[in-house]
Amino acid sequence: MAEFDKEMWQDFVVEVQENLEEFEPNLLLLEQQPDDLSILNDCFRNMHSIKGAANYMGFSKMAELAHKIENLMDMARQGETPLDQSAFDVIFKAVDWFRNLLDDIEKNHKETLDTSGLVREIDSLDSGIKGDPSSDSATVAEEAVEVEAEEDKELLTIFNEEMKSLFKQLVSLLNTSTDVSVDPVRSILEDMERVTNYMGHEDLLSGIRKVRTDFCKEAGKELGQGDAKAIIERLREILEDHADLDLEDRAVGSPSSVDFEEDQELYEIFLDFFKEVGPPLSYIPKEFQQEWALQCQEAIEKLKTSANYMDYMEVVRALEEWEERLTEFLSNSDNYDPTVFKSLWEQLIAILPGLSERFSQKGQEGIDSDGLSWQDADADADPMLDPGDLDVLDSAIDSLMEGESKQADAGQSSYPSEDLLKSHKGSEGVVKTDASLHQGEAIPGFHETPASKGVSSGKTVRVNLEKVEHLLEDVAELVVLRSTMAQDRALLESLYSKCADERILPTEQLRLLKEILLGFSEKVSVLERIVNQLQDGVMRIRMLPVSHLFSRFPRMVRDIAKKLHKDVELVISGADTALDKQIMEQLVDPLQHIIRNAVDHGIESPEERKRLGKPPKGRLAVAASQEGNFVVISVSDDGKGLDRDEIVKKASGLGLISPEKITSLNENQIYQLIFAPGFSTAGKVSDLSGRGVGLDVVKKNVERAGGSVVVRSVKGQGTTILLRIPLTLAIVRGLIVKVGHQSMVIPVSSVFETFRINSREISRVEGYEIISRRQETLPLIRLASIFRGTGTGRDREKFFAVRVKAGDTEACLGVDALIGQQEVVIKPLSDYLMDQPGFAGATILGDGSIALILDLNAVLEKSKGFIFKRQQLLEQQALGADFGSNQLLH
Amino acid sequence: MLKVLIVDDSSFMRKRLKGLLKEAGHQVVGTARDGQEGFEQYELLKPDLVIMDVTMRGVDGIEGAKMIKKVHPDARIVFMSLVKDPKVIAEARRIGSLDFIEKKDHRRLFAIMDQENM
Repeated sequence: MAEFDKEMWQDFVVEVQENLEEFEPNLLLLEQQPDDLSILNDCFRNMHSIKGAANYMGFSKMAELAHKIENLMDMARQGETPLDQSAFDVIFKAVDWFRNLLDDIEKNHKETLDTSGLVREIDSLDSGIKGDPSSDSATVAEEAVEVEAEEDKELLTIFNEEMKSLFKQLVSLLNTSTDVSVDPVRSILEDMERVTNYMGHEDLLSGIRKVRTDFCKEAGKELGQGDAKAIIERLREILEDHADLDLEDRAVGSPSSVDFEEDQELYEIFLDFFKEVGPPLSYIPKEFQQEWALQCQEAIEKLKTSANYMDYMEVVRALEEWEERLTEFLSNSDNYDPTVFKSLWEQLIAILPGLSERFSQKGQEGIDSDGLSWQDADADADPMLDPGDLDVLDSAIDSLMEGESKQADAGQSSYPSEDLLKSHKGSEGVVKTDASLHQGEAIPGFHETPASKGVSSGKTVRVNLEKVEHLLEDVAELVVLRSTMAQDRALLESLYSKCADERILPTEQLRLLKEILLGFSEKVSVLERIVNQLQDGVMRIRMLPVSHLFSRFPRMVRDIAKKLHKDVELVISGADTALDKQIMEQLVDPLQHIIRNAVDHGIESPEERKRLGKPPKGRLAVAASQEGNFVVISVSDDGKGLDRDEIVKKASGLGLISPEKITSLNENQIYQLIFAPGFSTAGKVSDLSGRGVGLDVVKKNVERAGGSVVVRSVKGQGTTILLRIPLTLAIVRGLIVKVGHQSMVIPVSSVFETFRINSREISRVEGYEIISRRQETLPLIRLASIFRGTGTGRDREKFFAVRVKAGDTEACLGVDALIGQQEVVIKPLSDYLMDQPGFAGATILGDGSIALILDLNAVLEKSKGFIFKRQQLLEQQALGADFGSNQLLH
Repeated sequence: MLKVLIVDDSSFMRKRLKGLLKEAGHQVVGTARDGQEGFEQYELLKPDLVIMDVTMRGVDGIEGAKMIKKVHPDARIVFMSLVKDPKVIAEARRIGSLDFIEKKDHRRLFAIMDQENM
């Protein structure tokens, strides 16, 4: 049941986040064009939705904030109070606060943060909520109550308490016994009237009076069951319609709990839970039954925990008494008295309205029947578990369907949409569509990503990632099975051809074998196809448009630019490119860092830019596109570019390169130096970037995601940083090799070629082995010598080399045998294995054996030292020096 | 049991309401995200009751209700909204909706539904 609650919470979070994700970019747009009504309307609606959801959940602070901002928006669109800069600043702040509140609630299950400061700030904007006639929120009503409450808070509290307790009396009176005399009812109603009269609530008074006259005309008569219900219903309506009287569920006689407003649903859940585990309690046997008592104890244990959690103290007390009585009778069953439990049960029914309905069919009969009924009821209750599960399935299916339509949407949105242009009329030339961006046009203003319009309109994968992970694991098993079966097929084939060639079997049996073989390979083919599709589908679920990643940038760029007094326009394109969610998460920090750098160090101040003859507004372009199995994300600015000399100076100062090497490096290689640890091109340390956590961390993070970083720059014209990231982490196409007895997997995407090698072809330079290949000199790394414990290479003279490239480093890996290519599912290694650099994970091969997946970056790191030497060697070669004369190189 | 169409642009609200109605033994035959979609769904599904939000992206609830009522004068529509603007509420009544109730007021909603069910 807690699961269900969690799901509601998740829905809530998704709802708020979705609205914020839409709201924030729209707010940025609005800041540029404050008069755009359609954006204003969108913003208004977002706040309205957040308010609605927060209200539903009973999060009053969040609802209040949303309400106040909604009002600001409303007044702006009525033309009463346009939003000024300070209003925007406060609203942006509020956006952050919504996120803080979400975190807060997630952690503490209630709102503990103090929002009053922000509320005051909003109020102090000229356009506070005062005098807003069309104001439309529950919070306003609440405020009204507050004001009144302050006037005579004490009196009101007393009145409320009194009415509540009277109503409660009435409810329990009417619920507990079937044939109620009108007299006690009448006396309670009269009490209510007296109290109400004292407070001077005319309408309430007449309402209650009417109930009394309608139902309690004849003294001494008994009320019918229907009447009792009607009285409660009518009173409830009257009392709750009364704004001052916050009866809610408390008054309905439900457990004397605090904080109960949002809990109607929780209460229902509790009742359902009661129905599920409680049947033993509803069945009270005439004779004492040991088994029944034990069942009861078990049920009470569960219910008590739950009731305690919900703070239903009366329920807890009743259950405790039940428990006590049980123990009593367990030790001495002769004294067993069913009426004790019957009255306790009735007490529970009275405390928990709605409970009796849940037990009305089965439970009640059970009191006099043969003792099986509560078990029946139990079985009956089982399906109660299902709706929750079905809901999950429902939403999974929903999101899959939505995912499909999302793709359709995304497809459409890459063409100029007339609607889009229309909806932002008056802003032509500011917002353009994706298609024009692909053509490389410069677009001023914030580009509106598809995320802010089409995609995020409720089209989110609403499945817990864990569930997808589980699914993926199962699919991974299938992938392995598929490989196993493919191997079986090969075995079967060779068996058949052996039998056929050598005529081991008589024709008849040979034909049978052939049939089996054909049938089997057909099934394997089908299986392969389905598993492929399944694998593809699951991977797709994990993929999200990069707009999820990009959507935070406009706000970020705005804030940084404002802080640094720079003028920057951000242009985002390709935001609908899909990328694995997990990888995307790993890219958050690196990309933020790169963008911060670009605004801070790349783009010049407006004055500087004018002096240089550049437009005062700097341009920052963030683009994503898919290239095969990779996504390329580029961040380009039109700022001052990297200063080659500065980098060289700094790098040699830090000892990253020796002075004599400088000449050997080309432009790009020098630029790569900015990714070296401890490097920062900034002259001074600002509070935005250049804090020592440098680009080396960026590079490391990107590489951890299986990607690579390249930088391009032209001095005075700008810098582009390119990230190349694999579409998905979980499954790679691998080249399986043998090193000793160990199977290893080399990602095929990094493999350049494979070839057989003879030890005669190997030369040695300073202890490094090198080989020549297609006029290139490459380091040779024998995997057997790097990874000890694999057993020595079987044949040191002849073996295989796999030429690989990772980042800018190229090398040949020496392996004992090449097995073949296969898609492998990466399973993470335990931490202690990860401490040993060199492996990215492990996988299970078709034959069930385990193979380690190479982390090429780490492996090639080992040959890094050699790379510089090779570079020098090549230089020497170019200068005509003798290839082997390496003593010169010291 | 009533066949119900829910029109609300918030998936959170749709889901909550759907669950609630299901539990109460009603059948949610469809959901829509705005007035236009609500109208189209109504044509298609002919529900017994429409529960309609007011503030929605696209065609709002009032407009959507008008569209439905124009073609199906006897359509039964209940507004559930946080909007408290008397003008809007008056407009909702003028269209001939059954009621205009607050989003969380499920009790009143069920009271109406019980009535309609008879």
